[in-house]
Amino acid sequence: MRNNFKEKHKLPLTFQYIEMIKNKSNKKKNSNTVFYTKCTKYETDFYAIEKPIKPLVRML
Amino acid sequence: MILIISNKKDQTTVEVIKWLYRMNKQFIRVHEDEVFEIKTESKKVFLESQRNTLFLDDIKSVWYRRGGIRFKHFRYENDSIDEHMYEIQHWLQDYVLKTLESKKHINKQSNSQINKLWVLEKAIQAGLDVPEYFLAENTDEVIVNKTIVKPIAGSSVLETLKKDSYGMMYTSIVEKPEKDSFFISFFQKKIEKDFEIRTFYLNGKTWSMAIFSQNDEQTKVDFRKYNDENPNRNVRYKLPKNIEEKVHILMQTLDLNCGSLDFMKSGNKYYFLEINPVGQFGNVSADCNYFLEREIALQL
Amino acid sequence: MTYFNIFSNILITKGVGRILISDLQRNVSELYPLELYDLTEELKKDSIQNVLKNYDAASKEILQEYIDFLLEKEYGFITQNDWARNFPLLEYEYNDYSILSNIFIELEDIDILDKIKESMESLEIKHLVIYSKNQLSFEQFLKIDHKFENSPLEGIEIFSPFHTFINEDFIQNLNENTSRIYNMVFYGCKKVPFRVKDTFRFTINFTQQDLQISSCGKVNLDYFGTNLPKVLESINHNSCLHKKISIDVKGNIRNCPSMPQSFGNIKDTKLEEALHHKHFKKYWNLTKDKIEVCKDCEFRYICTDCRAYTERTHENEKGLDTSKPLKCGYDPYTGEWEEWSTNP
Repeated sequence: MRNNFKEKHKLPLTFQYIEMIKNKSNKKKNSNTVFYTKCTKYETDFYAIEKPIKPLVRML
Repeated sequence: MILIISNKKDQTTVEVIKWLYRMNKQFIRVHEDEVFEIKTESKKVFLESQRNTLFLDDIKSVWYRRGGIRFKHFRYENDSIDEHMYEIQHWLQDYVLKTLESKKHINKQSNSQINKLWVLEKAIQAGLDVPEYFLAENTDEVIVNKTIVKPIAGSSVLETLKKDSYGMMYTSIVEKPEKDSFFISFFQKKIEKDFEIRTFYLNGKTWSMAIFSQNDEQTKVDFRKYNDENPNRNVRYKLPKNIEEKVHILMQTLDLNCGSLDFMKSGNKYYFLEINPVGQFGNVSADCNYFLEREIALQL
Repeated sequence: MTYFNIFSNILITKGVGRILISDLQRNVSELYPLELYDLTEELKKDSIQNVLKNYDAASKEILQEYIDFLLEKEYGFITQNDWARNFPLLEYEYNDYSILSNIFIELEDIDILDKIKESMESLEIKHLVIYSKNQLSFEQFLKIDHKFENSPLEGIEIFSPFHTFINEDFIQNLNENTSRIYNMVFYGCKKVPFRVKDTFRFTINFTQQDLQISSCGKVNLDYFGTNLPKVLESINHNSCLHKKISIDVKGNIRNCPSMPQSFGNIKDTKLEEALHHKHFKKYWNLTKDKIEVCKDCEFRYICTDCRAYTERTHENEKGLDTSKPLKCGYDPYTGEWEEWSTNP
């Protein structure tokens, strides 16, 4: 039962308590999703685009 | 010139770079997929990759964060020549890495991963309290419901363990005895904690955060089973001086000058759990307003 | 002896008639009666047992309820004896790597963005807000977004007039072809073209209001979000003008398009030069604690100030306007919100 990973050799007891989590690849994206893009200055392909911490203008 | 060894995904690296720009400090950033050739010019040794050129003499400090310096390795047709050239290239690369590690640094490529079992022994030697632990292949010595089991090594995330799921290996309470024997596993006495502490250590100084995970059923045993809807209370904490001193001794013994340490507070005792030399500390920095990324930039 | 301690990431702001408890970790602020403040102050100085000793049975019950409430909300925790000394207070230091954090442009010609791109990058400006008097076409929206491709700019907010070409396809196309726009407001919109659901990478707003630059400066509950960096900035600096720069429709560089003083024109002055003008930063450290009426208001650290549209009643010894914002209808002395007049 522990070895429902179908392994020939024994596994540590930690596998008995492992939690399986479904991949959320089709999670709905919305305005609160953090998107990543390229940034040359900081030399990364995973630059986190984040909203401002406060309302920059208050027109409405 | 500062050398930063990281991978493209790491967010902490970007935060530190932002401060480096602010401090007008020059740096070279190396990605995990860069491959370097060792070359020379006017009696000086330099490294060249697809996107970077760095002279060893120019580098004044090194921050090892993730990934590593990879080298091009030439193979030869003739077996004897190939064996000879393997040695030559290996020791040339070793010389380059050793030279880089001898400079002012924060973390090192060579000890960014550590042996958890070894660390526990060194922690005890340094005078820290460690919950009783042992290795076993069966549950004969295990006191059910009073003992936890956790992985000896590796990440707690096992990607694509099954077709469309990944596995999370948290610290778990052993709830019942096991009939069969199993691969050597790590068992430790379960501590009734008041709260947990994550400490960031850098060059002799510590910054700590207390994590109140015990009120939430989800995070009670392993606080990394993060409750995103109602996050655990994370607040500033100050370790007592005697614990700080022991932490310092332990880090020096392990030849580490930077890392994240986990503790559990129970009654009057501080129980040491583990060290992660290149662990995440972004939340410690943000939740406690410690500006740790700025601190790293200052010390490079 | 047991002690009650407020967690260090809970901020209690005392107003005239009530208090605001701001949870800086879970990003929520709530109003409570003044007596809760008095209780927390007493509990700071003595053990729970000693504090309760001073009250009669009925009051004791109420106070115990308050304490249980605070524990339930996880605003505080109990310690034995002197454990609390290991829990230092949060330092309210605000520090940011960027030299300027946001820029507000009254847009006439998109090409102005080319002129300032480099300055924006070296000053590490994180957000761009554009107000356009003219309708913007699909290509123009794309152009604005793409100008900042690969740059450190984190977000773009655009206010533009509504036009009938804007429909669900238009928005969906923008959603698929832009990366930095996080909010769009289409003003002067008589009929909303489609029902907006939160499925885009940005938020959109269709409003009937005919927005002008002078529409800015409003203070209302919608803008009272709580988070640690915002509150830290408010405690230490002016919550609107700190690290802000703007370019008005004629190219004049100001703190914000509605502020009177100009620090040069973008035609011949770079952003960095305007920033170094003697008076550019004069309002940056004018906090709500120094502004009339606001200094007594329980909302002062989660509110965003406005120095451009004020009641023009007070000035400090340095000649800075310290009057309450005009477009705030809240009176901390009565605890009531009223309509504010547009004519000072």
